[in-house]
Amino acid sequence: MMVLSSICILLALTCLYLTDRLRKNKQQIAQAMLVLEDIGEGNLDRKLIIEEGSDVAELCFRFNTIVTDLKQQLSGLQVSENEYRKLITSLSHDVRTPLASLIGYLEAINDGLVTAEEQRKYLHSCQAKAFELEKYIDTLFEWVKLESGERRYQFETVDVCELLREIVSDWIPRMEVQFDYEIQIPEKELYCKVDTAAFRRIVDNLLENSLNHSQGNKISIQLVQQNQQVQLEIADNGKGIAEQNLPRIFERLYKEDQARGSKGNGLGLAIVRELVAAHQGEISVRSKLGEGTRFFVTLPE
Amino acid sequence: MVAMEQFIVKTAALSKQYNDQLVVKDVSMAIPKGKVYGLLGRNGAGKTTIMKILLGLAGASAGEVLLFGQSPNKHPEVYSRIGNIIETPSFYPYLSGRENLKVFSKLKGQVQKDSVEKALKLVDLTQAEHKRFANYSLGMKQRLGIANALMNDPELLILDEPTNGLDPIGIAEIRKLLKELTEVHGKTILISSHQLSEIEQIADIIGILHNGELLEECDLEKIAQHNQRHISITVSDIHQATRLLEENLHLTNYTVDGNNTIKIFDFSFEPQEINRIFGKNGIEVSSLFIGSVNLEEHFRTITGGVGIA
Amino acid sequence: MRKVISAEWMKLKHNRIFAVCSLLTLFASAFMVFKDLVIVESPIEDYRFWLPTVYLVVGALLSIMSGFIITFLLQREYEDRTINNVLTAPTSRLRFLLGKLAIWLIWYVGTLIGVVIIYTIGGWLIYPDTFGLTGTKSLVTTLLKYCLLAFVAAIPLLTVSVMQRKVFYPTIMIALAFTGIQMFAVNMPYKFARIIPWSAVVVQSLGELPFKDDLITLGSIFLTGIIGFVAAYWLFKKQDL
Repeated sequence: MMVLSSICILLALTCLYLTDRLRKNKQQIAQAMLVLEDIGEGNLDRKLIIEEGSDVAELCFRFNTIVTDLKQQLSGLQVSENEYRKLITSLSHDVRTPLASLIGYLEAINDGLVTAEEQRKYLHSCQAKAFELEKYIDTLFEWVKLESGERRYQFETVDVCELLREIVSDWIPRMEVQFDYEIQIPEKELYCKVDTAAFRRIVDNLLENSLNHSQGNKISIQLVQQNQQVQLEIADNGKGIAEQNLPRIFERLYKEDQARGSKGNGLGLAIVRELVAAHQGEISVRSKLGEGTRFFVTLPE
Repeated sequence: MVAMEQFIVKTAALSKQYNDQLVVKDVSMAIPKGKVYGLLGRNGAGKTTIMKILLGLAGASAGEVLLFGQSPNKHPEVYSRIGNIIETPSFYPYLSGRENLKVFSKLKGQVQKDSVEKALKLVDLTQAEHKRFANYSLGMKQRLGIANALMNDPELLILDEPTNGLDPIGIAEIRKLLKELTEVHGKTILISSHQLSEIEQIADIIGILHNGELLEECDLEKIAQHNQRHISITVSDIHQATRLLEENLHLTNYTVDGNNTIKIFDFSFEPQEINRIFGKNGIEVSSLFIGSVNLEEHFRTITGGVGIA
Repeated sequence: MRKVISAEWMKLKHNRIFAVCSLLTLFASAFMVFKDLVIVESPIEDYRFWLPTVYLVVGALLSIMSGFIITFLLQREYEDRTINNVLTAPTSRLRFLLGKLAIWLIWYVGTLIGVVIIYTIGGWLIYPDTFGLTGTKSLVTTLLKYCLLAFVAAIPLLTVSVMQRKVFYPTIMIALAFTGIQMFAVNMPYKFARIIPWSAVVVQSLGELPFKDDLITLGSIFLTGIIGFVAAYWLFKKQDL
């Protein structure tokens, strides 16, 4: 009799326990459904919160991980999208600005309101601005090509010393206006596998950067050979870059001079970095506020 | 179903009366998703009270609170989506850091198997996790508070002066963490402080609380745009205007946008000069704006000269 | 609800108060047994007159200790402000109070069982010839009934605890007051003793009562318990933390 009733009680308790567990599971699943609905509507920040000992715990944890990963991917895409938008706005300003006064000058000339002397001055300004525009658009296309992966490299083994001499000689007229320059390129031949257009672009952008932003008056260009590598150094004695900003100068759209009106679109160094990387090379910078800046580009031979 | 709510936190005419004093008067604030909202005010202005009301720790005398677009009284489960630190971190002194988090993890539930371990790692308390909470330094206590707030990766964080009592390095670390939480993880943060300098570095919107009243909500992005020292001029003929500026004032430090507006960053001349030149050449100016107020002055003006502590 | 109780259990780790209170009670009980067994020259003849002394002592001990226990359970949470973290988990205020009540009950019953065992053994030792199974049955049932009723009547301590927040002495003093009334029950006029809940516990447990008095005593006790809890919940719900 006693045994029978204790067995009955035991059975009853087990039933109770199982029913309770079932009820709890149903409840948790219902709650999870609500959260899932919200996630389905686009709110990827929702998480399923569940007790550790629950029967559906593993399932929910796994689900949370999947959603988190998804969200991260999406964030990455959004960041890229935002950067593009910023780029477009920035370049829109950078293109409109020289264009505005360019048209102004031309209008003035067309209206015949100017003297011959003024006309000459105006046309000179127009030319300068048109070149500016051309450069901006060049940069933009360079950037778009790089970003979309459409840039095709043509690597050929060339004598970089000769190549560099060529590029630099084109720059001399611009440099001598405000800068003393020092060029040290070895007489012998140094062969490297480079895409000549890309190499030219690298040097152009670095020199552009020093000329326009350093506010110095001395520039030095050096090419040396160092353990199976070719190292190009471009240095200036300008205002330098603050230590905390150094890692950021190669970022897209980064401008040291945060005032919106400063020249440059923040892409020059970013492009250089991409191009150097495409050559399996490395770029580094050394600078201190007030003590000038030195850029080092190393390319394997 | 409920559409994605634009405002994570919304209050309407929130008031709180203690005895005879109105400590929160008619506060209507709105915090958009993914932004950092800084509640700025002196000690005793009512910041903590508002936060307690938002969290259901105190009841409002009047007004309405909406969290995630829902009334927390009818849907208390919204609290599971919020992580918080109110006043100094509150934990069981005779339990270790880890044991404390385990207790709260039991109550809250978990989003991952190792939620507790992850939280401790995030605030760098893994080495001290077995030490009794009573033996923690102030910095460690604060960090444990943050670990608890972040434990289930909540969508909303309500932090009451989280850097109180921390050294400058600790403050910088928290600032970095909070910035990462909003920028990378899209969390919404409500943070209170009595120091403008601290809050303006991290907040996107600042709500100024003075004697229980919300005086103003400032969108810092908009202010930053206006704050850079510049002159904005909208003209009738953008081409001639720019030509004239270049020719007569030798201005080069300017930009042009698509709305016929020139933004000038050069201050080597008097603004009246511009008007004179434009006037002489038949160019009309439809708006002129000089941005030069800094944040501190702005707040002083709003609080009626009292300023923030 | 299970997770609330589970969390409360986890909070007790490293905790000494619970253990100390239990041990004190058990030790005192053991000492009383020891006293009657060894020290006293001529112990009470009949175990049936010995038992009521046991009940009163145990009731008093548990009642006083309850004061400390309930104070510890709630007052610390207010003082350390851990209550904020618990409530924002979120935990409903009702479940929070129920959890505290549950842990108090668990402590109470746990200690009670220990005391029952000690006194049962005591009974067998002091009255080896007469105690026997009847004595045991009498001791166990009456003691359990007495103490559980006392627990219900002591629920207003929860209300006081909620009202006092960080302060700790009101609950202790009121626990002492309840204990005093209990002890004084036998000297009180019967009319009052059966209505006042804490003395009603004594009246109900120690005697065979007419049906009407059964109703009055039990009614008084359970009403006190229920009102105590409802008041505690109502006050707690309105409370600003």
